[in-house]
Amino acid sequence: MIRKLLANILPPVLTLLLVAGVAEAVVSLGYVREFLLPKPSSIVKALLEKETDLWPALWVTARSAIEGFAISIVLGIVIAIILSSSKWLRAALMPYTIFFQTVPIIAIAPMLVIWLGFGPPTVRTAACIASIFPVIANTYAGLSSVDPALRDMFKLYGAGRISTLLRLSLPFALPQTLTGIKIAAGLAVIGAMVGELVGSFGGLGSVIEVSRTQLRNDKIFAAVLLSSLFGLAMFLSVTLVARLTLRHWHASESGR
Amino acid sequence: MNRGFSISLDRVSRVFGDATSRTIAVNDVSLDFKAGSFNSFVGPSGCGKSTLLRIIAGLDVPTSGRCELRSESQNDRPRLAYVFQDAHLLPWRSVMGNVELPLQLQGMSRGRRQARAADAIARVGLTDAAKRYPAQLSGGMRMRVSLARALVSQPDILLLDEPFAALDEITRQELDDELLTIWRAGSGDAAMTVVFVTHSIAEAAYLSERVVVFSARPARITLDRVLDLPEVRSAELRTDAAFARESRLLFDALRASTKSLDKAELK
Repeated sequence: MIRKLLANILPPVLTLLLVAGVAEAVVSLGYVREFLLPKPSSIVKALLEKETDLWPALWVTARSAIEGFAISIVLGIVIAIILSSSKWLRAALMPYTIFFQTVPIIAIAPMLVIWLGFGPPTVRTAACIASIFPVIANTYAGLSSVDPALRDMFKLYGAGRISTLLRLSLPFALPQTLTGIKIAAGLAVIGAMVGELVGSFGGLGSVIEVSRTQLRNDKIFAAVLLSSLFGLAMFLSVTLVARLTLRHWHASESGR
Repeated sequence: MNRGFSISLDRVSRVFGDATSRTIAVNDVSLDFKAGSFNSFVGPSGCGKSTLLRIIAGLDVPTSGRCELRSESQNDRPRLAYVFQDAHLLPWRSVMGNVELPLQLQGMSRGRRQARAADAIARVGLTDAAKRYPAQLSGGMRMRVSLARALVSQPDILLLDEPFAALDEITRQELDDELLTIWRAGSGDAAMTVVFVTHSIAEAAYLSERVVVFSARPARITLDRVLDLPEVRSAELRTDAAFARESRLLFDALRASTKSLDKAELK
């Protein structure tokens, strides 16, 4: 058990130490100047500074990202249900849902600021727009691939539309929905950061913006590091939830 | 008085497609199955026998002709159950959850439906596995769950579409015997009318009172025979001379119908 853990964790940690060590040496020995590449030790120092605004900023970003993510899960599933419920609605709405994927979030963020003002609402909305498409697309694919024999069976026993949706279609689509949510988790953090860079007085995005004007490269790197780690944590939590939910029944999670 | 339902098909045809590409799946089939009888459909694959079964179930409607399910004593609609070729279980529900599903969809209370489901699970010999999930079961066990799910609603008419085709020979014979036991247990008052679709002549002859052999598509009846075999079937029957004779008759009819398929394809 411990040996297996070591085999999994040791190699990436060694890679990290090696890269950090080389960067540290290259900058310390004067080959690259410090304002181009901050020393890894300065980044760590920036993170550990007393009364740094990095950690409160992480909290602000995390809240907006999680809220936007939650909205995109609920809204994404509802939109997928609407799309799969009638041919006519699908034809009418499908092109506009693809808009969510193709729109460059950085380009519409200024518009969001105009509509919603500076602050969390804009950030939340940016996180939602950036992350909703995989939830819609995957849930829709799951809902449209329900086993026709099972649909027949539900019909035979007189199940209504709502009952069929709750007891058959949604559970059937769940593995695919969860895959979409996994992808959305990382995208929500990216969306939140972009929202903050453009339209917020708070959060890691703002820290990056302010540090840039102060030439505090170590802090920029520290903020980027924190946001990536947070995105990773989101992804891993969703993966864990997916594993626990599907452990009984789905081949991708039960290890069979 | 017999509480069961008879099945009456009157000149049933089913055509798929539109004016440009028409496929006739079923062509002018008339049949009457007595309440409480055990009947089989045999025919080449893709001949339309499954379509006919779906029409009886009300999952499909005939293009012309009528299908009626009648009872001498009941005015209600019959309770139907359908067993598919594969088990088609809900993988997120345990064995118990799968078997109680039909009752849940009909709005029965939790306590009552669990008692009924436990009873149906016991009848197919899976009591010990009631809490397991489909992914943890063998193919034969899954098919047993599927059978229990069909039986739990105490159907008047049980329709089976090549239910055991994917199983190995031994498991299949076991399930055939269980099906017969269950059907016979319900004979008399609570008789269940069965229509069993299969590729296998031996299976049809072993199970049925009456076998209908269909031609290649469009499905027409080439042989409709009430088997001359003892009422109670057992494993010894499989090697009996009478069984061989009946199988031979069915086989000849099936081969004749397959030949007409070859000719049709040559044209």
